[in-house]
Amino acid sequence: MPVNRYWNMSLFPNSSPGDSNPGFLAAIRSRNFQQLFRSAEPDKEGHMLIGAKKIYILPTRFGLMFAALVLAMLVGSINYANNLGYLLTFFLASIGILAIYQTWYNLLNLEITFLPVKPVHAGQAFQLEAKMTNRLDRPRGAIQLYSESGKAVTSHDIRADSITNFRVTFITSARGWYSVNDLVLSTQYPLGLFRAWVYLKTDIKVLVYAKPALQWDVPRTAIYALSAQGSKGIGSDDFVSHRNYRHTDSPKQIDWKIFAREKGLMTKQFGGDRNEQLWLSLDLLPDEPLETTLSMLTRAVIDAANEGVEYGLRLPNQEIPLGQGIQHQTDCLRALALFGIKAGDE
Amino acid sequence: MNKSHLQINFRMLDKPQHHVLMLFLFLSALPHFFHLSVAISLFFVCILLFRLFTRLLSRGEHPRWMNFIFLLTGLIIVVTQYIGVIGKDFGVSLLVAMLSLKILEMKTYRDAYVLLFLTGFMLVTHFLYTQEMFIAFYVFTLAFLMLYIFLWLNQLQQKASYSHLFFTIGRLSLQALPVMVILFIFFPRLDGPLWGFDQQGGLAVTGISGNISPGSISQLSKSSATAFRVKFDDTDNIPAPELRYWRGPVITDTDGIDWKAEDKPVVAKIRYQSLGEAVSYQITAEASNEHWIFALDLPASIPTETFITRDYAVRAKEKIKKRTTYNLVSYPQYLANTTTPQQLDAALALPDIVTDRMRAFVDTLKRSSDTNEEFVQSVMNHFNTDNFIYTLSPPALLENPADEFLFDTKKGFCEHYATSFVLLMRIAGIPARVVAGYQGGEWNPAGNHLIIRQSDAHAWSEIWLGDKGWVRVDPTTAVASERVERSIDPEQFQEGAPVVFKIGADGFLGRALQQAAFMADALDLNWHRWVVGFSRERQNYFLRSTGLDFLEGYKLGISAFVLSSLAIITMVILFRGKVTDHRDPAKKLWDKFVQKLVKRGVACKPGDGPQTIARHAGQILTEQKDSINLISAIYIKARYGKQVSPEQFRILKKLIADF
Repeated sequence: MPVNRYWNMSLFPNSSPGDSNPGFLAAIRSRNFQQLFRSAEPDKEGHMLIGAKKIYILPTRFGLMFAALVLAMLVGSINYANNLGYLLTFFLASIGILAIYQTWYNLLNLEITFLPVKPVHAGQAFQLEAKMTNRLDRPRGAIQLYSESGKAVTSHDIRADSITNFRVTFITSARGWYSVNDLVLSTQYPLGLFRAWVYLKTDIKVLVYAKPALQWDVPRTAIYALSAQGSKGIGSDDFVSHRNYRHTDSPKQIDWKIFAREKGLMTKQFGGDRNEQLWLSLDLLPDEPLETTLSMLTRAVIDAANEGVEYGLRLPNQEIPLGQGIQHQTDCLRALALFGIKAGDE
Repeated sequence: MNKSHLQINFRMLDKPQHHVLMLFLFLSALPHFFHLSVAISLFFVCILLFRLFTRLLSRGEHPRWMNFIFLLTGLIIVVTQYIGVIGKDFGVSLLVAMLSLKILEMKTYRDAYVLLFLTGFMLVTHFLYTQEMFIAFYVFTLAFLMLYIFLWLNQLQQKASYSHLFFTIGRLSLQALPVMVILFIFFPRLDGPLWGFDQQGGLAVTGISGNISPGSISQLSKSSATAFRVKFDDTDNIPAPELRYWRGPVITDTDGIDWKAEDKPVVAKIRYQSLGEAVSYQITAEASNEHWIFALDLPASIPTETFITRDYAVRAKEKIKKRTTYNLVSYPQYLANTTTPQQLDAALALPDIVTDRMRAFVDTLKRSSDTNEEFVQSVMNHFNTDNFIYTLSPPALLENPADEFLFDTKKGFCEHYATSFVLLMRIAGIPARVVAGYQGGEWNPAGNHLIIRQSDAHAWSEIWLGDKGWVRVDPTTAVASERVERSIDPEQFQEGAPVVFKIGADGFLGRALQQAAFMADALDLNWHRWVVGFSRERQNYFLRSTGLDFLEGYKLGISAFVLSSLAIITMVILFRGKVTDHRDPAKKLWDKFVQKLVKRGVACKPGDGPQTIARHAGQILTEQKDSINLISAIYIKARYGKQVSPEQFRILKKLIADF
């Protein structure tokens, strides 16, 4: 049977399958105290449903002040045997207790889907976009999403029965995988007396390419002119490949058919008789530190792709044959980004 | 602890929030202006205006040192106004002063919270001054507004929908009400205060006192204020109006002008014979700042916090400083034939002002009557036939009220008749005393209770007739027999004119108004019985009548906790939101598709991703592999990518429908 627990609600719904609470001792040993806490996890489709048992709740400092207020009112009412004082005290006390539930409920059964993130270059920022689906017939107010290590907090009200996209910005520093696993979803709605929060175990990994060097002229040793292979018969305006449109491109070169298919602006690239082949490898820069070399090669890949030359990449552990096109460029950038990074980290 | 806190705490308040907070503060302090010193009230209003203008005009902040000056001014005002009296007023004034200083610093969300909590505490202090229904309504409205502002502060949208805020808080309050009621009923009440306090000292209220002098009761009769209300346990068996004598102070000592009840009455036991049926009832007395409880003539059983004097007047041990309910039993028909020689001697003592005219008058009547009863009758007849007038505004009696009233003016109110009657009896050698109290009362059909107003204040006499004991004689009936059947209408009297008695209201409007007045009165009594006066005794009474009296002491506390927890759970379940089936349309289609696959024998586990399912289905339904793959490809794109075109969505729909 299909999964239908999203709308089959009870007061205390079962938590999502695969309760991830690693052993207490394991957590202590690894000094990863975060693991001691329950956290919400995505299901196999990648959706997260905030289950009842995943939500933590504690009073805020205002909640403690509110409790002090109610206590003071109670003592006063007892002392003066003031029944109206009792009434007001009990009214506010009831509101305070109900606020626990309201705050907790504000997160309960919220559905989160993280949208895929495109790779970025080191030093650039990326935005993680989370689709928050509220299936309740009432709004969820002031939901906050933030990364514990980051600075920014994203807050939105989510209207009844609707979807709101939250965007959290991360700034990358090094190439490789940027993993996002310290996201917290929290709320103090409605009265600000309690704060409920959920640790999100997202395990999102964003590929970060090496930071491209500002400029690097590829040494002549990397270029081989192979005119015989370059000759494709008719002449200098043979269609070779597509590449992303740049604003300097002539409109004549835009492939309008692709645009009509809603696949974006693509520029047609033409090649001529003279076809250069470019082999990029670490050997081209023997004296530079590895990271600098990788960043220069990244620059070379970007430039080569822009100029429309055929290029290949040779690394000690892998070789990407000569080629062109977006997929080829992605492969090369990926290989450079992950060079020397253990596969186990992936 | 966490940065998400900090961001909210230091969020600045915007202009509308500022203004609403100030309005809220003003309204919360408003009822205090009527009893606090003018200086404090002015101080508060000035600071509020100052803040309003500095924000409106310069949008800036006033210099910091000004806060110090304001603080000093506030403290000086509070200390000078309430010097030497560290009491309720002092505390409340200090609170008002503190609040006004906090207004000056109001900038952020956090300031607003602190301010609201202080104001919340101030709200409860209003009940120390008055516990009327309207103030409760007012305070609870403000408490609602306080919660409203809390929610508003937590709302992120710049343009908050006010109706949404209102309904959210309304729903929360509705949930809280039953919990509040349960806690109110079951929360154990203490007998005494935690620490000493003098509640409402120096209260000026009108009502019958232990002193009677000419004009004292007629003065009262001009007031339609409620003296007390009576609820009879058996509403079918209520004493007739002419039997409803509500007995207050019994007065023997007099100098001929002033009649004074004993200052230090002796506690006595009830020793009279009952003749008729017992009547049990509850009296809800208004604050009188006196000891007297006006029991129905004659009381037989009295509450513990009261005692009875030897002349059968019921007194509270403490002055009645707030509305209180007492349970009593009386016998309207009785034989009170026990007394002491001292009592009889005192009831025969003649003041110096007895004139020869009076003695001669008594001698004349005494000679023509054989028995004491006959003598009493002839005095009554004299009042009836000799042009005596019953009036609220009798002419002034200068030196010898009894003599002047009896022989010159012949115009008087009940106290004139009662006191002069007692003097005449004493001259004739019959022990006699004056009883002050109330007579009659108006039946409230809306609340099934009797209202006794100050205008029902009355004075009558009691004489000792040997075997018959102390007998009540009401000389007023000789001049105005309607007095004991109807109430006086305090709104309809003119100077010197005879008293007008209340007759049923006329016309539709009159009846409607009367009905409305009765309803309001019933509401007021119930307000007191069930809310303001819900004392330990009332709580016990309630528990007994519902069979819950096994809940005593700590058990009551536990039951308060358990029941309120149950109420909270119930409310949470009742008010939990509905989850709508507005799944992602793509997901809906996919679920339908999965159901079709299950029918065809493809085992789909919950939690399987679309790719897993598609691979699995492709292996089993090999001839439809292409369409399965296409469906899953479009679905994955629709669900996990950003969007699919409407055309692709139509294709998905058609593929699944045809499958």
